[in-house]
Amino acid sequence: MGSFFSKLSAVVFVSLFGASILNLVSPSEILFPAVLFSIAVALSLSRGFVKALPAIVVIGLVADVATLGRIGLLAAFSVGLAYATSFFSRRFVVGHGLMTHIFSGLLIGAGVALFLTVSTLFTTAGSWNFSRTFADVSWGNTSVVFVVGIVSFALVSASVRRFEEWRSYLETPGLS
Amino acid sequence: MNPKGLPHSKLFRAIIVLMVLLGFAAWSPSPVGIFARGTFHTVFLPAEQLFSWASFGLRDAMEFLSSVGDLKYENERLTEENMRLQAENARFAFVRDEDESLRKSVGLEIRKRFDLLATEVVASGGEGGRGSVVISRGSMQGVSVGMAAVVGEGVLVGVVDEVYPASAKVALVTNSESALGGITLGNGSQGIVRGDRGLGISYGNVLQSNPLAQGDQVVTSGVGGTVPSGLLLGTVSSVRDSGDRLFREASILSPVDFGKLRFLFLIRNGLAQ
Repeated sequence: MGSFFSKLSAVVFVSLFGASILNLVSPSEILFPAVLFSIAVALSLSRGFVKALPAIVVIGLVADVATLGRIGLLAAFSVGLAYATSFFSRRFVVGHGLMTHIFSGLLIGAGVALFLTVSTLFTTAGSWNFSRTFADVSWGNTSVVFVVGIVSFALVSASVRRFEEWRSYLETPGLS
Repeated sequence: MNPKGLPHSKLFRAIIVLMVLLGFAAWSPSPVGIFARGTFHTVFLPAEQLFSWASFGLRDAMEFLSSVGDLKYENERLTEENMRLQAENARFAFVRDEDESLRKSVGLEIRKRFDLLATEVVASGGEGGRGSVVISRGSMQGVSVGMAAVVGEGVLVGVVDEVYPASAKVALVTNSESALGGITLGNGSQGIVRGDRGLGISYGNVLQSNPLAQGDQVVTSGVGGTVPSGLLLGTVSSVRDSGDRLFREASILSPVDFGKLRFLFLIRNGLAQ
């Protein structure tokens, strides 16, 4: 029971953090997707894709609702990134060192850039202007996205690791 | 191939979940979205108010700290600007009365007297993270769909498009789904004001024969909606022909910084005239 409420509180906290703190304080639209995708990648690395899937879907859907976006879009990108992490980590990355952080950060950055493009496609369907959308893409913007991805993953993965330890403590048999 | 077969593989699960989620996002059934957002932003409104209060405090503190070094320079600049504005004010005083009477005669003055309901932004999101905001008033306080949200002395920032019991969602004028009738002050060129992907405002469908120039002020025309006429939308910053060259279109620069919205005023039904 305690574990359930701790999970529920964490999901709500993440969504409120995005909608009522990051989106209000930051002039950038990339911060909250970067944080959410970092959580999905960190969960996929710590639990494995299949075990992390339900949690990633729930967090993504609640985040979509809280941040007034298309319901399912953030969740779909979170799932896609979690799968990509699982797929690549077995083939190219060993352990959880610096390379994992850099690789995960770059993956998150790419996910954020793709998410922004696809969300534009969803919101302006029918009047989408390819040249204008890609005119907004520059090396400066792209590099910022990757830097944010790396920094975000470094901060979020430590928090997720702490939360996972606490959760496993709460789920210890015989703990009342 | 996975010995357990495709239905048990990670790839298969990922594809199924992705298809369901992307399908739902593309379908985007309005009642489900309104119900989900209404439930979330009603149940967690107190937490949102607490979080937004903390974030506005944090933002103010950050802005204060970053501005300390610029205070001396800013003070000198403001002193010079104050003198320039005093001189300009004296010059404009001569033409003010004539200008106001002219605007009133054609019904285009920027309106300043409304029956207003004050509210605070507690969350934001949507397009580009800035397409919509959630406010701390809902149907219990008399908020209804279509109410115009303004700041200052009648500067339109958005329109209420979803109402929950204790909160409501306002689609900002920068939202791509936002479309309003607009008209320029002075020359009366009518067009349609649309949001531009949460980033800006565009003014289109203006006939080629109608004058439209940089610096023109655009206000709501009140045509085809619940938004009253005469609310300021912004100033024309650049003018161009539409892609098919049938119309003229422009970018509008709003006097509002949509990233710093905190307090809004909703115009109630039964406007004070």
